[in-house]
Amino acid sequence: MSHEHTLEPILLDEAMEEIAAAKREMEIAVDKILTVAERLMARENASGSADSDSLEADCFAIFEACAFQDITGQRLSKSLKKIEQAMAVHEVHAQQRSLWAKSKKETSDGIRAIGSDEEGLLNGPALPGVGLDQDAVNELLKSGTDK
Amino acid sequence: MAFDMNKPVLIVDDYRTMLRIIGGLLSKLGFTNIDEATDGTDAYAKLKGKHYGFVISDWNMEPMSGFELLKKVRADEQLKNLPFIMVTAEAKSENVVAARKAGVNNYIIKPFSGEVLKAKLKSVIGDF
Repeated sequence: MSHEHTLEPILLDEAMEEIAAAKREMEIAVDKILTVAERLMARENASGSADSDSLEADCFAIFEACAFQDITGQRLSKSLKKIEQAMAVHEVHAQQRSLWAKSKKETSDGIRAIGSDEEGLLNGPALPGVGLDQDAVNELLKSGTDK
Repeated sequence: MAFDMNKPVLIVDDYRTMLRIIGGLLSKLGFTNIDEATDGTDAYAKLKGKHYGFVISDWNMEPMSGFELLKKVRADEQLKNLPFIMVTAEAKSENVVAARKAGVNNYIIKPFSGEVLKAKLKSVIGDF
């Protein structure tokens, strides 16, 4: 089977995984925001006024939850890129030209970084369970090693 | 000596939502003079025009990424010691290693809490 036949489904699978992850993250973030809003409403209904310190804390919890928009925006951009690339592969195949000579990295990691020292470093948010968490990042910074 | 909370600080991100969030968190922490930039080129021009206390930058931006900005800052005689914190969704070890080698002072993975931001800032600029 030629590379063109295998690349499209891989790109589309990856795009679908990103969209599914973005959907889950939006649901989690909206749930957090609504929970805080409900808590604020309940507190105001109970006491007739909101304690200003806890009000501020709840407002900042909403701020932090809204960071999902950056992450999901990047995931959707990645998905769009993969779909565009899959369409490009399909078009080339249909025109009977080989796209595989073009770097696989270029089609799966993003076009901008090729040839630069950022090649392989522009991946956007990792899928859940794939990237490092903050504790692992902290250890890596402290250790001074490359692993 | 404690950090002067009136000193200008710069946040760099191509998502306006993140600029609002980080700016809001910094305000809550007591920083009073917060500037914004939407990519590395914009940020570098601002950094050359004013003395900033620190930079908090996203990585993935165009035309100049946060990584390119970091390298440019560290190569600049005037800016080379500027505290620089990367705040990014890039969560691979290769990214952390590359940023560390390029001279980043700290690295925060998105999404993050106000407590994480405060702790990372304290580790870089000291008490405030």
